[in-house]
Amino acid sequence: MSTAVSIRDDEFPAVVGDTRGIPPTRGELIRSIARNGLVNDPSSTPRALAVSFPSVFHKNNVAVATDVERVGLGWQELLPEFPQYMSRQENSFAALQEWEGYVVEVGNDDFTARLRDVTAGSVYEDEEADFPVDDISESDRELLRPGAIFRWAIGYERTRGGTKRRISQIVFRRLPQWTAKDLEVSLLEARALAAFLRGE
Amino acid sequence: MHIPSEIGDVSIVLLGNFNPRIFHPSWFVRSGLFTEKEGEVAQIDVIHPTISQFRMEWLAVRVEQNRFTAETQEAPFVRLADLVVRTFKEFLIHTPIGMLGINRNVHFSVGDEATRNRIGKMLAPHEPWGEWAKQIEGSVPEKRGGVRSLSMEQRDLDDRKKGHLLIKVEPSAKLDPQIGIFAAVNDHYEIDDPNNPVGCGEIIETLEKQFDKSIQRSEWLIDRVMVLK
Repeated sequence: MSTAVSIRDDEFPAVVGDTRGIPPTRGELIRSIARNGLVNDPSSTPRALAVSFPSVFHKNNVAVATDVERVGLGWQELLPEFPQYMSRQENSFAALQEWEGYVVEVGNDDFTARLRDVTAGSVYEDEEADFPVDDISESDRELLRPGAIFRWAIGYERTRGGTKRRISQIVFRRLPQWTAKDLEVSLLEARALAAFLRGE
Repeated sequence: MHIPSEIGDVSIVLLGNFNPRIFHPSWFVRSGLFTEKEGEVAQIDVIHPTISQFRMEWLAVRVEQNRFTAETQEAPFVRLADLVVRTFKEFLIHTPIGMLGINRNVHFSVGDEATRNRIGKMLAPHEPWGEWAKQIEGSVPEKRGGVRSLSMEQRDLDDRKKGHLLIKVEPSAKLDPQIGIFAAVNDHYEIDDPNNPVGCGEIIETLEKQFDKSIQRSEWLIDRVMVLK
């Protein structure tokens, strides 16, 4: 049997072109799967898919599916019920104030850091503070060393049950490695600055 | 922000061409983007050639063939940008990406229904609707109507070649609907030819440079609604 399926793209609101953080609906996901080749090009899938589109796909000439008969998974199995919001985190934490800091010195129980007030838009690190090492999560502790950059946020944590409490959180930044292009740009900036200082 | 948010999140959305199957927690561990422990506790919803989705304590990731979304509800939000930047700047450098959205969503309470209604009317006055305005009000509180959703967009922005800044304001569906307001900001960037991107360097560089500024500007915009209280 033929497995040709044609989808009239102009009839569908495209999933692409929208960068809002709203997950697609189930229908959009189905159309996305169809548009992205799983249906149109069976060879692109490791297993043939039993795609038996629901009747809505045949109504109003929105999509024309003919002789769709495959073996294996059904389209329903491809599409678990996704929540409207992905996170489903137990708690949400909104910062009232945030600082960026770098570690100056690390002791046995605490560490010293210079801080820049990100919330106030400060450009320079003009504050200094000591923090207990215990305030850092275990996964971040290996990153604690002089020069390490972190964010410190103070704010309210709201639990799923509605309880609100004030907390503070330190997160060490996992910054990207410098690329050759980054180094090149920095070198050019440094040369320009040196030339300026020499009065050239 | 003027009023602390009750619930809020930040998401980064990239549009381009992705291979969802790559985005498995174990790949992030192997690449050094997650620790072993983070990889172990990650909860996988689905990993499939068409869509992958997993979540962990502070993060949720969903990847479709044309869309990558990473979301967090937990400050400091820059951690999310660091992860996305490293993913595409150090590892998946040839992924074609043409558009970027930095999104800030906030649900906040204004305390009482009268205040919420007053804010709604300031943003979308009823008077221009003439005779219908009285009917919108309704005869009893439980049948009171009003603004359901309002969007305002800026397109002339000097920090990008193409894109927009869009805020949407609605009654909150997550808080008590009588006192809650939902504000969502979509800060959208595009390359010159977003439908034919070559690599992801330009978009990821934009994300790296703009993320903090974008979140601050979005919160400032949401504050414009909050200060109406």
